[in-house]
Amino acid sequence: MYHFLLFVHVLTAFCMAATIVIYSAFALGAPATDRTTFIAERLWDVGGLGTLVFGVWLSIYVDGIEIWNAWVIIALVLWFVAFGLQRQAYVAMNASGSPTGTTLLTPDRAGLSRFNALRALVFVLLLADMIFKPWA
Amino acid sequence: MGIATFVGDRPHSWDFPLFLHVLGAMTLVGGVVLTLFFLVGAWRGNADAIRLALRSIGLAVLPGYIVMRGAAEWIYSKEGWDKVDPSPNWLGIGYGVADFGILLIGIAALVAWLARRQGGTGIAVRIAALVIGFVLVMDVVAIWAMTTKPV
Repeated sequence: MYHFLLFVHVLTAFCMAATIVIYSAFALGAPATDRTTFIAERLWDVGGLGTLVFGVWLSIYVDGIEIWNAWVIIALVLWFVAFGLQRQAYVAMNASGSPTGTTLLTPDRAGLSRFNALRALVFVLLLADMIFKPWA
Repeated sequence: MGIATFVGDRPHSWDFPLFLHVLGAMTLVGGVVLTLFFLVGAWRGNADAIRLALRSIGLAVLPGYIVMRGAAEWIYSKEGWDKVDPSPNWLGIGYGVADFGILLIGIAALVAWLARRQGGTGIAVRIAALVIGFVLVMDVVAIWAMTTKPV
């Protein structure tokens, strides 16, 4: 059970990372359609929900980890910050409105670059917190 | 069960190479997903997407692979696996996926580059997309092996 929880927790974290890489390409000028953005967004949703649910589950299931451990609380705070930044990146991504089909989006690239870079930074901090486990 | 390692029995000196290993792997997998996006776009008729696929291999997949693979060697040495014979299966899976995976990525890049030179979106692009899709499946297997550590 532990290994399954850990596998899904880590796999969903990879989904979040994939969204950041995809958004980075868009921020650097790669053309984005609403379809590719939709898939990137769903990867983020699945990744975000999965890391949270299975992360909390792990903290309850594993002896020696408690939800009130400093590194777990830090992770939860960073997770919420990352989701707030995702919302901002999404708004910048869809600055042109809601085209349909394969219409190219014309994002606010400055806003997209800023919020995606901040989100990437927060995600790296989240990963560091998971591995270094400060005050554990 | 391996829980002790997860909870924090791992020496802190292993943390930084592990951090780099996972960060590199996440960049690599994100780059593979992005490359697949563009190759599927090329498959569907957007010939310019081949250029973007090649660029994503160069700017995300390869840097991620180098960091992941280099840090893997670092932590392999730190954890003392070089003194263990035979190595556990999960290590073999990890090395197999990394080494065979980069070969497949190279083949996919070569095929995509040739397709781009011919200006087409034909069978070569489909082959490149299928190969990259297979690499993504292999990566998921590697993540499973690294986290569950089958004997």
